[in-house]
Amino acid sequence: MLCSKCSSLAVIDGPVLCKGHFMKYVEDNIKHTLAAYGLAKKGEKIAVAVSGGKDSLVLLSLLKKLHGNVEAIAIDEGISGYREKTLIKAKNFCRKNHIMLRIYKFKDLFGFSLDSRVTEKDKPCSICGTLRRYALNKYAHSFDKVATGHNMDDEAQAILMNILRFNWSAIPQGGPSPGIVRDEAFVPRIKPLYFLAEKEVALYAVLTGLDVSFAECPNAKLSYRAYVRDMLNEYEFKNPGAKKKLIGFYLSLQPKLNSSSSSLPLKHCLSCNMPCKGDYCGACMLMAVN
Amino acid sequence: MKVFIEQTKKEKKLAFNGKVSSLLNRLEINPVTVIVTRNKVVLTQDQHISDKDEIRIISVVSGG
Repeated sequence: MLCSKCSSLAVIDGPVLCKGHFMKYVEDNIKHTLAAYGLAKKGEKIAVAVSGGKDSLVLLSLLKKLHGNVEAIAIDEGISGYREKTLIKAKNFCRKNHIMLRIYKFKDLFGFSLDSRVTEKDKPCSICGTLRRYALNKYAHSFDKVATGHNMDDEAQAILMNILRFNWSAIPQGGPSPGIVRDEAFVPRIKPLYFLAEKEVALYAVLTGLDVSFAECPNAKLSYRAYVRDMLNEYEFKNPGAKKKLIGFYLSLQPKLNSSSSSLPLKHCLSCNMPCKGDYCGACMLMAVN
Repeated sequence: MKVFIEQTKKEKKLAFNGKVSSLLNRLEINPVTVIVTRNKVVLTQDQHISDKDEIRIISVVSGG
């Protein structure tokens, strides 16, 4: 199969592109997302949330190249046999590229590791996600924005999960610049990889020779997200472009969803003062259970 | 043919001549979820591979 732009051998089936044109396609895609959504304005200091996996290190590599003013933050949840290995990749990348990396541990912030907190009855990804978001927001307070490596697959999964669970309040919160409520205690999140498929991000990592982790979190297969992910991948195989259409459909609806949600009252956690929807934030409620 | 599955760090030996897409079909792997390489060169679904090749299959699926 030959590249649709030149006669070189293709490295990807859809879009059909050679290595050179594929690299340009990825970089142009991110440049467009950054510009179209005003994600990284000149002079803004951006914290990139890294794990050592392909998404976060591709994001860090490209934001360093395209924006410049970046530092890395990693959260060590305490997932034995997994996180310590991926963090080695993050440390190596940051050392090689002269990027400041700060690592924060669940154990120091919450008093427990994820492994010690999760029981057989718990849903580890739900607990981990809530505490990671809290930790990232807390430790990124001196930055203008936090960039995360969420790609198109992650976002398509989130949209479908929220629809299937009728999680109405979470539905408007997506997009490359998520969040419908602004508060000075929230560090705005940005998702520059929003319009790139997971496979495209992984291929970029392989073609650029980035030393990244391709390991899957041992807890992931227990999650509802993994079920939706596999279902979507099966559907994408039979209907190429389905994820892109789902994202497009969602983004076209989002302005209406936002306007219907803008009157939601914002409270502050009675325990830590973090903005939240109820009397206590998710992290404090989890810690109270512990 | 030697097939190394990156995610499980396991190697399989099998007799195979044909397209990348046929190999994935035989291994019951969804092409959407993997990158296939031969000698560190990325292959597309239509490329022909043979018994002499050493193939690496990298899962792109992650997250929880």
